[in-house]
Amino acid sequence: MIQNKIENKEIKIKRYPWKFAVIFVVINIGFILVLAKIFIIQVIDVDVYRKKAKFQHETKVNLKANRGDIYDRNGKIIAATIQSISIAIDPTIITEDVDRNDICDAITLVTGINKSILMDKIQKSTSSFVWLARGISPEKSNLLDSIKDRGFIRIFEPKRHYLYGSSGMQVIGTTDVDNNGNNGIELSCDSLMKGRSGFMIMNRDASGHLRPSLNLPKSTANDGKDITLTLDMDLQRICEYELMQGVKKAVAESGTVIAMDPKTGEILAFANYSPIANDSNIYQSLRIKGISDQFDPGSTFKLVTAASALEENLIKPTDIVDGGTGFLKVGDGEIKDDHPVGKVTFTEALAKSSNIVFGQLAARIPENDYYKYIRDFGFGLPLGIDLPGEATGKILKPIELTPTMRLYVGHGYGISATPLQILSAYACVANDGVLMKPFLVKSSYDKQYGKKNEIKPTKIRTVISPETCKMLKDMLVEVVDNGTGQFAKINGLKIAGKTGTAQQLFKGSYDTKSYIASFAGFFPAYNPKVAMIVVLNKPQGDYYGGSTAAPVFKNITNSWLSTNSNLNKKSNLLNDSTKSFLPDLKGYDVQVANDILRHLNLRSNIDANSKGIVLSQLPYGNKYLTINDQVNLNYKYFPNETKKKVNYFDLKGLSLRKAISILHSEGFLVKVNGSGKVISQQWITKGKEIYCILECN
Amino acid sequence: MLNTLRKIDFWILLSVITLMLFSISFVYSASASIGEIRFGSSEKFFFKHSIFIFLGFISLYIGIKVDYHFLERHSDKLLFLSIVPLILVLIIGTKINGAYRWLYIGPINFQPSEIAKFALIIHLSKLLAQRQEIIKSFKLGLLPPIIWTAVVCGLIAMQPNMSSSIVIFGLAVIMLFIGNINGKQLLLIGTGIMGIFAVYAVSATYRIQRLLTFVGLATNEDLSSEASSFQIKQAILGFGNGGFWGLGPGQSKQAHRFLPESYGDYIFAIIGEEYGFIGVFLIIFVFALILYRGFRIAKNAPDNFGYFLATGITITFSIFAFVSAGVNCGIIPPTGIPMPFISYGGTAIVVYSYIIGVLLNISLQINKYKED
Repeated sequence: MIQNKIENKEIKIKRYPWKFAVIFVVINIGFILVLAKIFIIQVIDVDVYRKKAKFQHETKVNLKANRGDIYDRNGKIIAATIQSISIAIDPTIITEDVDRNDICDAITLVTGINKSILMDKIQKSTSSFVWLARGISPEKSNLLDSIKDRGFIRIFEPKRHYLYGSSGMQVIGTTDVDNNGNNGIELSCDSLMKGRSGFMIMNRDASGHLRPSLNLPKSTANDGKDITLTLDMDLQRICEYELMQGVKKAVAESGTVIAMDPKTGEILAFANYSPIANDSNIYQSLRIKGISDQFDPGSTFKLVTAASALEENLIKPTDIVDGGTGFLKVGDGEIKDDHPVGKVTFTEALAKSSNIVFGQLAARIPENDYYKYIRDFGFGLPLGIDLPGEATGKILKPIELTPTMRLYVGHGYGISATPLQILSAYACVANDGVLMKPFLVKSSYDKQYGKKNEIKPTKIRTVISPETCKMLKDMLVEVVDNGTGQFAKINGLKIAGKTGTAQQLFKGSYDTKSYIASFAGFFPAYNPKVAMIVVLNKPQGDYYGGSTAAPVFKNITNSWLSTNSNLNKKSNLLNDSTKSFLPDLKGYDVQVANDILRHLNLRSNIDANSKGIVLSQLPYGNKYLTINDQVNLNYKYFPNETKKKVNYFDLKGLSLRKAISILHSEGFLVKVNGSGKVISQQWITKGKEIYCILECN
Repeated sequence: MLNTLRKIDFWILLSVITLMLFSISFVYSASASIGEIRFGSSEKFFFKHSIFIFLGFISLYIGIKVDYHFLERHSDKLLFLSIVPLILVLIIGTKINGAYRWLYIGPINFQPSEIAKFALIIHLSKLLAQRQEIIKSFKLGLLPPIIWTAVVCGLIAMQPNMSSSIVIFGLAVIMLFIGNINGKQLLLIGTGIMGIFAVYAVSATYRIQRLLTFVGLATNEDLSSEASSFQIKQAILGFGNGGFWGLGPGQSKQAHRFLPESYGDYIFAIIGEEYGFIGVFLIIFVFALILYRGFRIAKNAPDNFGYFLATGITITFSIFAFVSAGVNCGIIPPTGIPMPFISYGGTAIVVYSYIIGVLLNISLQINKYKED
């Protein structure tokens, strides 16, 4: 054995170095092939693979920008974005009917959505994602927190919240579930408020887990800008309330009120009401009638005819004009005055709104001049308000303005205009002949950079001279004081305005049953703060603008005066320096009321030590007094321990705003049912707190 | 000790220690994400691997210290002992990815083929060394080594583990070639057995698909049940993402579970991603260096057994390294072959370390008999 082994060792085998060389070379060729392939991948085609790898390893995460808020001109917040929770379900994971039932029960409890609808949605769907409820506000969603099932999907979504509810909804607009503007300001300022979404590139692993990395690019989201509107939400609500009353009273199909600051073109209120729409979406009709409805303006257009003739020196306010017998045959048709005026001054003709006088006057104005004034007042073209859907209206070219045609155009027929266009013409007169571009967005504010961008009022053009405007104002004041606009009259406040009652084209001819009643004007007449138009569409029964639209104008003005201290200032209200307009002071703190009276140059029974809330006043509010008249305020101070005494004073008849301010200033909690004026009150004690329940109509 | 260090093949020792130490880093970054998901600890594989590397150093030391003729004396028992687990694994083995390759005995789990291939090489070395006189005889020279090879490769093929089987058969053929077997006979037998392999290769649809996909005649869709094509794509993406300089240690993105087996068979792609072409080149260079120095030891081996054993050990390392690298970069059809010393491998590390120790032990004895 051992011998064998030694022998084996001694028989040294023939060693062939070439065999090693061959193997060495072959294996090394293999290594070189490997390196070559890797070289191609890593060096030559590196970009291709890097791109692919990037696609696989990185993922873009969108960072949502917050939508900007909307404020009214006084800084009151109108629209804000809150975080809401949306619920979806994956029916392929939650398959048991018992589980589905439980989830639907909980959602029904939170949202009030009918359970069978929810179950139906789930049963019918074949996909793995079914929305059940969107935009649930966080305080409500607590109940859903306990649901931990896999397949129950919670998604946080921003949701637009409108703090004034449906008030002003038509111009403010709405957003869709994805927070994009749908209409109104929300749409026209969408790009401003939406902001710029950012993104963040994150590393991703094969199972989709994300990891942030410092080296990867990211772009922070820029939140949308806040927007301040020219709207005054107090006035807006007054307008909406009074318009609703007016529409109901006149049994009209719908109504529109637009109020504007004539000096700047700022829209102060923009209300629309239609009783046809059901209660839950009164203001939801998407069309903004104030800028998209176009109709024959009728008598309100006489202002333009008068302005053209006065500016061209064709007539003076004191000139005698002849309205004849109230009947003028024109070809096949006729022009009528319901109340024939006979021979009167031009001012009286406007006050009595003679169609014949203004038809004949228009026929005297050369067609080119007349066309120029109509166009310059803003008719026939959009005014460029910052709202979507503005109509142009229709006017006639000079060649179409034949003398016969002018007979009609002169008193507002044969052309069409939007309520905003008519209002702008009146605002132009109020603003001494300068037409301003109407606008709603006063400023935008960039929260991130603290940059505020004020939008300056834009002058469109000068239409007529201040002298002509002075004459027109006198004439329009006469309309309200002694003419067809008497229902708009307020003692102590000079209002300039004009009624309009226009038949509407229906199937090609003017319909005797469908009218548009309107009243356009401004106040105080000689230092205008507000220009306003009230339009009632198809009032049944009494269809005259003077008796349906003018009272709405008056009521709005009245309510507004009592809340707007700026307008209450003596200088604004009266030319007559011996008179002072006394507002309704109920609900004011006595010291505040005293300040107001002092501004108005009225005396009061209040001294510096008086404390309390004004309960009543003598004389009553909303009338004018001679300066230095005494106003007696009946007030009461309610220290905390004598809260019950509040029972003694009566809140009935007060506006909700005042009632609440009285109660709040005394530290009571208030529950309100309804809106408008208080019709009854009730006291409830819950633990330590005393609630006052106000029923309103 | 100093004497030992002076005589030992310093290049191989240095290369292997370097690879072992670096593999700790490689495995750590390639396994962290998977470890975290699977065991809740990103260091799980790192710790286990470190322990095996430590055990590897011990077995490397034993290999260097024990005279390699010990293996010559016991090669038949060794081969027998390594065939038993090859049979056992077919009976009680754990099925992973459709094949019985792993044997779990208590805390130890290993692939019997890892040990069997070295047992075969040792025994072939002994047979070839002792039968040089009669080596050209078909019956006495060629048949015994071929039979042993067929038994081992056949058992491995039954797991089924075709790729290892083919590679081990290839190693045996190279050894017979070095061992001066009759060229014509070798060619005949080699062709015959390759033919059997070829028939076997097309006997299962997944293997045909795999081959077809590899040569570009089938698309990935046909492989919906097979993840291998996806692995290759992800491995190549790993290399590409690394570029020339690499993303840096620990920066691999593919290791975040895009590349399955990123710490095992496909670790080379992760190295490519983290260390770039530079890293890849250096690893291949180290393997080429081991090949070169290994052959040098073989050529100068003091006796026939040492001559064959050194050759066998050297080409085993080189070919397994090549196949693993080739699979990673897609020039060889995807198979589950780990990269020696680099992949996370438990017992494989200990076995490889020992066998490299043996190679170094041969290098220590180069001039032993010349002095006589």
